[in-house]
Amino acid sequence: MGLLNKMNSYAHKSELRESKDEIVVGEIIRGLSHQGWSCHQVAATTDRQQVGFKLAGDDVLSAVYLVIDRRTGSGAVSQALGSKTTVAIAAEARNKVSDPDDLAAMWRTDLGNLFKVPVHGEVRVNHQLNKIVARTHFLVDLDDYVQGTNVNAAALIPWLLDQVGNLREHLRPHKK
Amino acid sequence: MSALTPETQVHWTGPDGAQQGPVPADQVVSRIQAGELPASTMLWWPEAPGWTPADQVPGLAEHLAAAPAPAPAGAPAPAGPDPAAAAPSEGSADSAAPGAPGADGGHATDALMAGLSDQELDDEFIGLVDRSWEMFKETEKASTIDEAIVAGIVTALVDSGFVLIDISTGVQHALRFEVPTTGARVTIDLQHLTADLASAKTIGHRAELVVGYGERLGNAGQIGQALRGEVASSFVATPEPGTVSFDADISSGYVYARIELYLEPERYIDDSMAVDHDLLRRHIAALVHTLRTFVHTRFAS
Repeated sequence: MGLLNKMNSYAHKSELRESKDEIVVGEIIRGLSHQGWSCHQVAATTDRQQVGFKLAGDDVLSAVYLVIDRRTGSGAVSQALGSKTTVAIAAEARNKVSDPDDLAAMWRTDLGNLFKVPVHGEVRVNHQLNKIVARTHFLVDLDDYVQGTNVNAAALIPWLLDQVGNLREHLRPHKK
Repeated sequence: MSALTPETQVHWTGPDGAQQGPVPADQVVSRIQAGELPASTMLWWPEAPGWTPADQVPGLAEHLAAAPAPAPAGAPAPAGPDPAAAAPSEGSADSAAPGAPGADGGHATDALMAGLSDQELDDEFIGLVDRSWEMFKETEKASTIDEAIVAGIVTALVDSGFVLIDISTGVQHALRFEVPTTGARVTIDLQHLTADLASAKTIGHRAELVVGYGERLGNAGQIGQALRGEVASSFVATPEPGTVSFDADISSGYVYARIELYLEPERYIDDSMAVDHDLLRRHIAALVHTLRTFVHTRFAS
């Protein structure tokens, strides 16, 4: 393929200011890779980026997934919320083998989830036999991290690690 | 077949075919010796391979050889097409209750597990699950090693002061980075060529990598037009590895040099999916350095 057509594959965000969410995703990948996490999933579209990491050696978590969703900015609900970006964090614990007791635990979890909506930091745990996932959502103002050409994401990774730590504690009782 | 001890709890079938027990084996033996039951009375106990005539059970046959002839004309086997299908579960809490055999899930299932302890069965189960995880991880690595490379490249460039400004994924990963202070850009296109396990195991993992380096020029439009004519006159439809070519992104005023290479992802990603960041950064640095030189040389005027 000739190079001249190659550039058409990009979204052509010709200005840096159009790329705040991508910039944040780049900082997340870099910051969490330096934690020793192994990235195994990168799925990106125009408005939504999802990255997944394996956590080798973690005593509870097997994987963490983060979604940066800019679609928050459309629709009636989103208009009410403003144009902030949704950051979804899901932490996954895996038990190699499930046993009949897990059925009872699943039932209790489902009951506990009845009225739980995992927004604004609320944590919802989904128990699927040998896989248990805790997830939460936040509305984040990316201007906190990217201002023009000035990128300051130093606080982003510690904040994410705090949230993952919170999810880890929700999953710890389920880890065998 | 293991020998019975006098204390072994056994089930047996009465003259009418009804299941009885469990009772100690010596009680059944006494009744056979007393002529109340035939020597061919069917017995079952947890270690038995199935329902067995008493006079064929090791350890009992000798005692029963001199037993009186049975009053009833033979004892029928328990109901069901398979004698083993009436066997009670080993260690079942229900096994002492009348009619317990089969109450917890099927006698054939118990017969299937005959001769194997719970521990042995658990160990075999865990072994199968462990091996499955090993195979799953091989498959997972084959399908995700390109994402690990992408993350490694992002880390190398963002560590160096670039910011990620474009990312799209699919069969091919396309990324674009920019240095905020200078506007210099690096583009990365990565396509995993061996995403299925069979290919990866046969020839090893391979990926196609296209790296570009670009800078904003005031007359990028004119340069782009010139480059289009240049490429149109070229006979090289698909650049071979190592060939540097040029492009212009007229909408943003950038000119690029790029190079196409083949990559062995396993040089950078180990079996635990950990990334050799130093080696990856070293290789990306070498490519960007060369391409920047090409851009500066080609468009210096």
